Amino acid sequence: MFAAVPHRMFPWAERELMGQKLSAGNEPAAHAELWGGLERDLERLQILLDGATEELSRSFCAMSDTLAGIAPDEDARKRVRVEADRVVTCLQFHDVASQIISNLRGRAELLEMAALAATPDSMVDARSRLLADALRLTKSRPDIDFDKKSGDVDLF
Amino acid sequence: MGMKILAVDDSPTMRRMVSHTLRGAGYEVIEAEDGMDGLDKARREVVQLVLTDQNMPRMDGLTLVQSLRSLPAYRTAPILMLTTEAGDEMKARGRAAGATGWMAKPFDPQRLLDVVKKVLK
Repeated sequence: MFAAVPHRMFPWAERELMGQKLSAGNEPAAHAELWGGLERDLERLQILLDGATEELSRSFCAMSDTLAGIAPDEDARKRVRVEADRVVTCLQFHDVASQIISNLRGRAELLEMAALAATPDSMVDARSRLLADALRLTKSRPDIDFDKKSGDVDLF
Repeated sequence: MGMKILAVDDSPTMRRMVSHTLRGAGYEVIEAEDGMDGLDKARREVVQLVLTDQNMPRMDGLTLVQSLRSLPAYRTAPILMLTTEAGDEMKARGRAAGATGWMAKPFDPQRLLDVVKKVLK
């Protein structure tokens, strides 16, 4: 399905890997954990963006309408409109960012499939060490708790 | 003005920004969340202009344009694409499908209003 990828396209294969090799039995689980983490982070990023932009755009529209209604003269209304137009253009970043996230997910999936399909036997050990390194790296960066609400405090 | 405009986009933020801009200029705006919803709403209530995104679930913008053009009420009505897709090939497909124009996101509100005014003349 995928064309063979030359070894030089995997720079990590030529790098000296510091980690220990995973056992053959652990490799699929490590792989699934890493892949799951990537998917989860992208999904959370999308949820964060959706939520924040929804609130921002709702508040902005209400504020902009109110300001336009109470502006004392045409000059003030024009100033409100110019500033509001800038915000309308900027808030559309959400649509573009969402498409980039969606593209990123698709490309990551394809890269993963291509990498798996193209891994020659001579590189299986290197892949295993890379997975172990990547897992350790992931675990050293704890997940952000997205269940927390604004202003939530944990006292110990 | 009393003109009705159908704004079709799967992004709630985009719909809100388009509506805010058009309503502020006196247009009445009907929102739809994808091509299917847009087609349904356009059938139920005739609008003077359709603004649609391209990439949407269930039915994309080009399919919506083609579907609308097959309805007598929309044979000549202006239909504008408002999308991040800006390639020449896509624009050519839009033109072939019957779109009146193509506007790139993110849009500038005043530019959008100018274009809307122009196609509604």
